[in-house]
Amino acid sequence: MSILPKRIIKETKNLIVDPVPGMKTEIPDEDNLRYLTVQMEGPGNSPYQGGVFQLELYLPEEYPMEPPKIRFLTPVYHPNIDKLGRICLDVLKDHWSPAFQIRTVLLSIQQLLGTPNPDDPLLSDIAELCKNDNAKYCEIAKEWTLKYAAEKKKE
Amino acid sequence: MGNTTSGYDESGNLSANSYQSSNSSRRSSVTTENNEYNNINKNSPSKNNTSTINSSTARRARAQTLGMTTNGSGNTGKQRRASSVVSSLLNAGMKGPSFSRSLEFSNSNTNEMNKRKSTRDRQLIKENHYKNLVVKFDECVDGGYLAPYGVHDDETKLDYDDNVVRQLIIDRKLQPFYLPLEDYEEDELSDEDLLKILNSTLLHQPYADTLEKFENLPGVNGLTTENLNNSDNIDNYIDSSLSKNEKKIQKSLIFTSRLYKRKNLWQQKENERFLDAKAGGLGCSMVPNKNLLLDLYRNGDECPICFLYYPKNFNVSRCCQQPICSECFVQIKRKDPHYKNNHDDNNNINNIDQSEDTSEALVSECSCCPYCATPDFGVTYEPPVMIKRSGLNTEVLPSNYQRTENIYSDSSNISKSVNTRPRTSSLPVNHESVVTSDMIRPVWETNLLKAKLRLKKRFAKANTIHMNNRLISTEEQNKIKKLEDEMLQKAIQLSLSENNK
Repeated sequence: MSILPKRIIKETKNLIVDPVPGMKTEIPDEDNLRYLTVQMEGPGNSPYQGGVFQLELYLPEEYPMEPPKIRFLTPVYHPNIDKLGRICLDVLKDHWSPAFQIRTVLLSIQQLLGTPNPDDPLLSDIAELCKNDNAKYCEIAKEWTLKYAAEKKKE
Repeated sequence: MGNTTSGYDESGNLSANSYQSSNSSRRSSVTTENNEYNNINKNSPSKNNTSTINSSTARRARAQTLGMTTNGSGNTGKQRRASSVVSSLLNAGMKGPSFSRSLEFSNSNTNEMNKRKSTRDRQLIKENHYKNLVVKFDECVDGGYLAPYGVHDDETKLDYDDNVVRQLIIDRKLQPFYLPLEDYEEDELSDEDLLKILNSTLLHQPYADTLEKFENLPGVNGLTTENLNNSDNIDNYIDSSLSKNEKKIQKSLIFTSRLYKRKNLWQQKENERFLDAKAGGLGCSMVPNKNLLLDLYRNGDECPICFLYYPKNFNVSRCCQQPICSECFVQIKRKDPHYKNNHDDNNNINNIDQSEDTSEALVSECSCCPYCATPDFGVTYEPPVMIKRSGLNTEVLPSNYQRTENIYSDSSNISKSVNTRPRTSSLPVNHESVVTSDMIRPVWETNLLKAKLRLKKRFAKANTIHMNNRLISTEEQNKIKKLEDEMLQKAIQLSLSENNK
């Protein structure tokens, strides 16, 4: 196992001491500081409002030269998030920059929940619905939030 | 102790005075290496041309025999179609060199010899690269070094051109690799404490014993240094049950793994030499003194990418003037050749549809500034003023460094006086003082071409198989015949029904 870079220690410590508003970061396994879990509140004025979404985050060996690997553990009805929770977001792929941090990435994901991007979809059927019948899309998304994301909160 | 390094590197024995000459000779050795490389490149296409012709005539002959057997019944239309397909395929083959074929057909001994020699050359180049990544205390530039401390860990990924970077640092065009400080609270740390921390820092981050990817590899662990040095004995350790290609991969893995281990040992020796010199032993004149260290690290700052503390003379991005340490700068590079607008993660070069020659669509996008995303990332570096320089390319030995008065209060004045122009705007990529990511990795172009060629080769191969199947398969022929009969019948039916009207 390689030595943990100072940056990862500093960043995770910072996330726990001074958390991003509406997010709770935890290190489930003290032996593996590259693996984090995040509880993210759904953004206001969106069908995800009121939900708390679980994410897992892994910092690969090449981090920060490569982006962190993040996925939703809670099912989300969203054109840019697939069944496995994988997220289609430019900063997690081609547009990653080592000057970004876990913090910036989490905020981008929260923002993506509130403002879906149906023109660059991961799931085309949800994207179609989002574009053509937004009310219906919001309704289903709200349903999913209640069904999956609200239960997590009670636990 | 100073002689301990003589076994692996000539520069270990150099005195401080002979740096100039050693550098120039190093440079000249690079150029000869490059020339050799170019020659190899020049030779190979011609070799391939002749052999592709050989292979294509052979293929043509084979295709003709195939055409005879499958179309023996005398269907001239089909024959014409088949041969035109074959000829277009051959044309494609002529355009894109098909290396594997050419090797198959021109199975001469000289070719084998050349190949083996170039493997050894490649190994030697790689070995020299790793040697240049060893941090040596007596290659000191303004209190920093010519090789990275290893902040970003995986040494096997430091694929920048070490000769270029070393020269840039000596020429004061790039920040030297300074030893990083992990935490630094300027007010809380006394001079003594700061010096204590600096003195306890070794030249390189402690190594992981083995990297995950090298685990359980034969022919590495438990070997003597002598055995590790000898790459001829690698063959003895290779699993004989593997296929030819797998063997090749394993061989190169063992070689790299050994090199990693050897670099580790080299660095350990350098660390020992460093400690020895610090205690007043050989080369002590190249150890930075108290004054130099305090001047440097009292003005430290954090690199925004690795979060570590370095002396303030950072590299600065040419576009938005943000600081970046050399350790991070050498990590930033072009993406590997890939397709543009590649959405799907799995859609990489290795598992794409091979029915079409898409090699020309491969791109290797230039690296962008991590801060403002401007393409063609480049930095400028402002070295310390003349009187504050020490080490290589100066008169001042790091151990004789004098603290100049008023360094803190007048530092802004000093820097203004050397600054020919204030950096308020961005610099163009071709500005003479800009060091770009491409400059320290000049091979990116060759790599892109290689990737394109590989893809072309694979496409040609896939096409050959595809076409062969089409020519041979009688089932397919029957299908076509059946279809034609059906169409004929339909046509007759149609004309009959029209006649009936």
